[in-house]
Amino acid sequence: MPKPDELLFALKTFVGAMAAFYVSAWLGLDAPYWAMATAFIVAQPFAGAMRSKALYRLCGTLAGGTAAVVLVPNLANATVLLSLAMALWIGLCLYIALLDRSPRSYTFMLAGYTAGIIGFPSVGDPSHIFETALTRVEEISIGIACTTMVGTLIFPRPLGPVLARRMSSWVKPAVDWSVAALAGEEESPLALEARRQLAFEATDAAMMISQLAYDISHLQSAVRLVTRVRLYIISLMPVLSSVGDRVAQLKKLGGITPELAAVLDGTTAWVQHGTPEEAGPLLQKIMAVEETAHDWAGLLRASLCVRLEELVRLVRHSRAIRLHVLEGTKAPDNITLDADYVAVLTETHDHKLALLSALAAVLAVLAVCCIWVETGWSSGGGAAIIVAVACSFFAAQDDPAPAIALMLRNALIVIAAVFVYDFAILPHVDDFIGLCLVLLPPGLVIGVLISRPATFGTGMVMGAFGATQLALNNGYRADFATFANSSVALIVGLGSALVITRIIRSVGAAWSAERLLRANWRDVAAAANGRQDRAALTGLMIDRLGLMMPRLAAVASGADAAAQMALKDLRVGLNMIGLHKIHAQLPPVARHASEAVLAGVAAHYQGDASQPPPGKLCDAIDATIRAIQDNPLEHKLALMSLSGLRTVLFPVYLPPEPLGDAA
Amino acid sequence: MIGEIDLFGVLLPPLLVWVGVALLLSTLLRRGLAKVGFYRFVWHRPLFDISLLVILTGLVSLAATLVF
Repeated sequence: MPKPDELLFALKTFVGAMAAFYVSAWLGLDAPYWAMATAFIVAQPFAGAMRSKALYRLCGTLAGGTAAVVLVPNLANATVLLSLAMALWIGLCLYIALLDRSPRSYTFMLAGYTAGIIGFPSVGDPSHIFETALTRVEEISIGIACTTMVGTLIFPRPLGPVLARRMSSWVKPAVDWSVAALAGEEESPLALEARRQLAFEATDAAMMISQLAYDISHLQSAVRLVTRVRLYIISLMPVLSSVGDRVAQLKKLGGITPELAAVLDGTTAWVQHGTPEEAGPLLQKIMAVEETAHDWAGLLRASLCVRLEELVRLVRHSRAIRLHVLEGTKAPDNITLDADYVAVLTETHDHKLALLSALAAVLAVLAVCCIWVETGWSSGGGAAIIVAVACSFFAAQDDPAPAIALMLRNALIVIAAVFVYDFAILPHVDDFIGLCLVLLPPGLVIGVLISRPATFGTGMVMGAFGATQLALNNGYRADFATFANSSVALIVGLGSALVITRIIRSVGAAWSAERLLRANWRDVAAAANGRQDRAALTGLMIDRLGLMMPRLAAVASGADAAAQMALKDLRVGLNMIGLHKIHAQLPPVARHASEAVLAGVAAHYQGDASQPPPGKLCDAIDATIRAIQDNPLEHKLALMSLSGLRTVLFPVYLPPEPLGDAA
Repeated sequence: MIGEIDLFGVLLPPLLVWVGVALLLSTLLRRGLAKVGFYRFVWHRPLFDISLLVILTGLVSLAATLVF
């Protein structure tokens, strides 16, 4: 049974849709059901999500309408060329849309198939294309205006509190993981779970944060702050991974001094329940830990302290911002922590997969156009529109085929319902109130479906298809030929989209995860060659980790190991960047040895990096360390990078032999 | 207030122009209110915003009648 708030949302959606229909019909527009369909498409439970989608839809419609007005009259006499141009435009827009992973991508996707929606039916009579395009834009605007008005003014559901809850939910995994790392027990079930959660959230929250800008709660203006917190969480992950590794190694070597143990305990206690103000003394304590021993354990201790400092600073900043945003405490003095270990927001783009999706859409549209032109079927344009929509809509998924199959099933249900309405119910309806009453039951069902995340797509598809298949107009004109034609067009369109997607576009989750992993390796190799930036590398690789997590969880039980590996790869990359920066200042002997390190890492990551790295590389690292360990203060950075690298790549190797005494 | 405003040959209903001016003013006002944290005390922000727009439109048209 639907809950009261779901019913309320359904009612709001229905009122918005009928109002949009009424206004368009009252203005005498040609196809008022477009406004109605838009009302269902834009409807979303959260005000922020709805308002952003409304804006994106408006922009996309404008762009698509313009493209149709430009293309159709110029190529109306050459059907083949026109089909080709339309298909390429749809493909191009889809390609751009797939490169933008934010909700804004809807604009580009829509610009593609809107050109089809306006252009294909006008091919026979291109002289009216401008009016058709204008009508469509007007009706979309009316639909958007009605839905957003109803959705925003009548019991709106702000996104802010939801995001606030989500932000609070980051605290527990972050603290769990930190505590486990500080104890050197990164493999505990709690820490594994925490890592999975954080990696997923760091990437997944991006969408909601971008919708927050359109929200109606006071958190609307906090987008920048929430983004900072997300950034700190991203930056925290490699730091935690290295802290955990070093503590574990030190424990194994028995190298934890009482001083260090006190600092570790202090940090653990502060991470669990310290205020941002208490971080200052703790930082001073960490920085005061002086390292005199120049052996391997000493090196580990010194680099651990650097990481601890980063950890505390990151946690302090995110904590201060969270308290400010959620509880309204005083704003932190400077919300931007300006340090080289803070990541920048980067999104990975999969050009190849985007191209493949675009190619599938182009071929599918061309195939349907071929059938259309060869058979001279009057509703072939409708099928071409549907195929473009179906190929675009789910293109961001690894395998869009199941979603398209579901769409086909929903379309069949819609066709059955429209048949009943067209020939049994609507003939008895002769005024607007009656129309509202007979449409209320399916409208409410669709609204409830839209309000539930799991059935959101189903509800939206049913609303949009239902409104367009019903094709309500001023006055009743049921006609079996029209109904049959548009229904067959819907089925043919979805069917061909399904077939072509299955043939050329479907990929598995495992394959995608593997590609992400390989892209990571390429970036690490690039870092070893000095072609990467620290902040960008962190942003990029954590982004990929977030994309990998759900895919790995879907295919295998080894997701944790893979996530662990991705973090280790990232740390290798960061150490390589560090080493590259100071490489030129090393004394000649050390420089020679470190060149071997850089080349060795690059070679390792250009090949299959899931294999254990060659022992030769370990020797090269040890040789470099030996060459500079007499001068630890001058070469602190190099020693940090090298010891970090050795910890990540050769965790089971014994500590380098000759270290301890100057060799 | 009957009549039209002639904007380079395009005749516009005055109300449209007043709403446009009010929209501009309300945008500025909303920015300011958000900055000082006023919206923390507002129960229904959209309702508040649209009421603000209506009031400003009223004020603008009132001012316009007084001036012209």
